Amino acid sequence: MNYRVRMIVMLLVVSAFSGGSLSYMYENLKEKIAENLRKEIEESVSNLIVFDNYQEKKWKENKVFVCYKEGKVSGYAIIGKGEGFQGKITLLLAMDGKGERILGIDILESQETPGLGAKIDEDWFKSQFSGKGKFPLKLVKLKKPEEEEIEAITGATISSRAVVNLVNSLVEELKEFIEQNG
Amino acid sequence: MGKLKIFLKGLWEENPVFRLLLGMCPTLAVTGYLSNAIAMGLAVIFVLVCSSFTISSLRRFIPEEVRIPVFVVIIATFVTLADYYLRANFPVISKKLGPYVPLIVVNCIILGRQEAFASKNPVFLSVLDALGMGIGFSLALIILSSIREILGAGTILGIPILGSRFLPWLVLTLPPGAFLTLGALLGFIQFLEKRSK
Repeated sequence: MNYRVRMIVMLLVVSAFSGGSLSYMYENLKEKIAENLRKEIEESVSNLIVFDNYQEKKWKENKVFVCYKEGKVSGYAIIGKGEGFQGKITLLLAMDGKGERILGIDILESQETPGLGAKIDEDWFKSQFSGKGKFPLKLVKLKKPEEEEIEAITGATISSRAVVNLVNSLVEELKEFIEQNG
Repeated sequence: MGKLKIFLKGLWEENPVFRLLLGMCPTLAVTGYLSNAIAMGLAVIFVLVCSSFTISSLRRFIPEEVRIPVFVVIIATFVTLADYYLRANFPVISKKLGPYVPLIVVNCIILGRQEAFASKNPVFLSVLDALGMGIGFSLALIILSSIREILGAGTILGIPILGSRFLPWLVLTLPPGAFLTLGALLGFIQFLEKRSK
């Protein structure tokens, strides 16, 4: 066989084989991958809101979960992204059925500095948001936080502020959603 | 070269990390915690052995001029397979390793072994070579990450071992800690080498 033709045939065969085996694997695994992602979100929602079933809706660029308990709305959850200290923070915010108080937050994804900014995923920081009803929330340092205040993580002010800002904007968006869909 | 020697050279004499200084990107990036290092090591062993096997079997059919693209396509296929597998079955680890799994494609240990060994040697020897190099790489990652996790966080595999009075040297789990630890280890290995001569 002509040498040039052989080069082309070889590349073609290898690429076709590679493409074929990858799409076969992907077809087999994609449901499991999507399922993992869904389970992860469902788990964080269920840690914050009591529900029997839920509906997933799209609102602007974000996803909103409307949760029902015995036929009544028991809470809303919204997932949004915001700029962190390094890279994006993906955050889940849960609010009660009237959209008045925060039930809690969870960090789904972040690339903050380990040991410093990564502490935004620790319970003592996240639980500060639970029960808050006065907005916008403010970040404070070195003092006892009041009703609408959140205490910053020492050494990670930028990450803490990123979370507070993200929560504030998601609260706004969720309230808008409830007004138009509630 | 004996078969045993081909396998063993990757562990010490030609250890990809400590002696050849190859694959520095994952070595520095994912060794903050032992669990990440183990997952990365296993993924690299898988990709290295599969690629060496495939390329060694095809070595007579691959035209010299297009060997690099062929190698890269084969390596990328196995890396993507490993990535899918981790995402489907070990979502937690996959999330922690993040972009470093797809980046195994450009890990020079893998392309290096294909070019230097698998494309010129029979299948069995190539697999032995790949296994040795892969295990050598994993061992290096495990040593580095153990030091960094124990001193930097006071834990090993997430279990606290140094007690609550120990103040973690945070810097070791951060990126500069990777350079500090690797530098100290390389110096120590050179020191041992000089003394044994």
